[in-house]
Amino acid sequence: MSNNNKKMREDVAASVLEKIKKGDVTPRPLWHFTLSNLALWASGIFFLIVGAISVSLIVLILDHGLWEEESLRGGGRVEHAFRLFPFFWLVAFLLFLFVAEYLLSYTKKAYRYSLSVIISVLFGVSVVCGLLLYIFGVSHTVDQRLGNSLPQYKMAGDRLGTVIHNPERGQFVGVIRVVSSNEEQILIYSRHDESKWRIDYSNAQFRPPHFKEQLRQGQHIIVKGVLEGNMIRAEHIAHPKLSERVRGNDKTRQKPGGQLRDQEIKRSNDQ
Amino acid sequence: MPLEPSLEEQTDEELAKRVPTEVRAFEVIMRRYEDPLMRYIFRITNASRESAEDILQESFLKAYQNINSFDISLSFSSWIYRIVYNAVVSDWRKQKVRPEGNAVTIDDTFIDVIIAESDVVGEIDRTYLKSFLEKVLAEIDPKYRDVLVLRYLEEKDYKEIADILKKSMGTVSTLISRAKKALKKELEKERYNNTYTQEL
Repeated sequence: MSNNNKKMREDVAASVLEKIKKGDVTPRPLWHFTLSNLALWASGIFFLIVGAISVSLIVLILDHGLWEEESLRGGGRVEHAFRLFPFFWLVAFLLFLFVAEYLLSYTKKAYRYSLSVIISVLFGVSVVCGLLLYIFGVSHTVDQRLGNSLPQYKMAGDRLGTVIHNPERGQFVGVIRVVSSNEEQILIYSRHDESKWRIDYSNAQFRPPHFKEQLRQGQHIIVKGVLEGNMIRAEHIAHPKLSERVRGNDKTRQKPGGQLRDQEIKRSNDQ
Repeated sequence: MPLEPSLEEQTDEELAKRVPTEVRAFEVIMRRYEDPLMRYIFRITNASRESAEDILQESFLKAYQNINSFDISLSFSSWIYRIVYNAVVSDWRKQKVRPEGNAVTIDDTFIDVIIAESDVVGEIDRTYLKSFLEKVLAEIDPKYRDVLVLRYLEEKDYKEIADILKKSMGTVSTLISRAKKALKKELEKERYNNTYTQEL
């Protein structure tokens, strides 16, 4: 090494040491790095969870709408799925997934894995967590909270109604307000056109068959039948697959004064 | 009570732990790395001596400031090479262009590797091959030059290169393979030109 090079090296090291000794430069504390790494992980995981909730809402909406009897649908299965599919939540999920990936890629060791591996793992984790959130009823709670707080938001049941509820074609989607077992009649309320419908189910086929014994207030229901006067003669009655455990009842959406009894059916009959 | 080894005898990682409380440890690190890092800067840039000195100084200051972020799962060498590489990239960004025509000086090891891995160089004179490879390395796509320099001139293994460039091992492996193909292609072209010239 020439003398010039040696002098140059000494200049660089000496200059750095001088700045350090003068206090111009100090090591950043360890907690600073720990905290920023933790913040990256926390925000990445937060977006991953929000992505998983989006997945759970997709599952909720599809599961809510795809189970009902074939005869109740207008159009084919693919067309029905397309009309029902929550594209908003799909876009939201993909967006959250990429935000999570972006944040986590800045963590210390993320560069050791290829982008495709990271995306695949995050996608898999989101889907699995989304299914778990759905199974444990979180998606339904989120759906209800969003429905109650955002007027523009369509809950899973509303979305189904938008696709299927069509009185002119004899298809009705609503929530049972009153059950009169003696008369084999129910009164349903449909939020889609804010209408009440009186249904005679004495000759209806139920899907599943034991559903007839489970009719109760607050339950979502899908009916296909013929409108006769102010009464619908039901031919098929089904309920969306959404399990009772997950769905609970629909009291949160009932209007005040919804404690209806058989008298309301009678009043409705009288009208 | 056993004597503690002097700072000069300690490993980079041991020194790095001492740096926050003992500036002298950092001085030892600087002495250890200033030559190889200057050489590395010259290999991947066409910086003047003054610019290279600035980049090295900035890198040492950053290393000192961020010494607490040093990850013990990395080698210290990979960590400090990464800081220098980032400082070089940052310098390119300031100039808004990555300079072309770097004067890369290659050694016999690199030539041996190329001869061993290519069947087209046997007929080319070794001295000529050296100057030709230097020219090709100066003109090759910078992303290929970065990995070739680290692999064959700095003699880093794939894991170290991955840690320095912050890329996965798979990406590094692909880049090295493509870089070698690009070199081979240039060599084939050169051989063809040589043969053609001799025939004329």
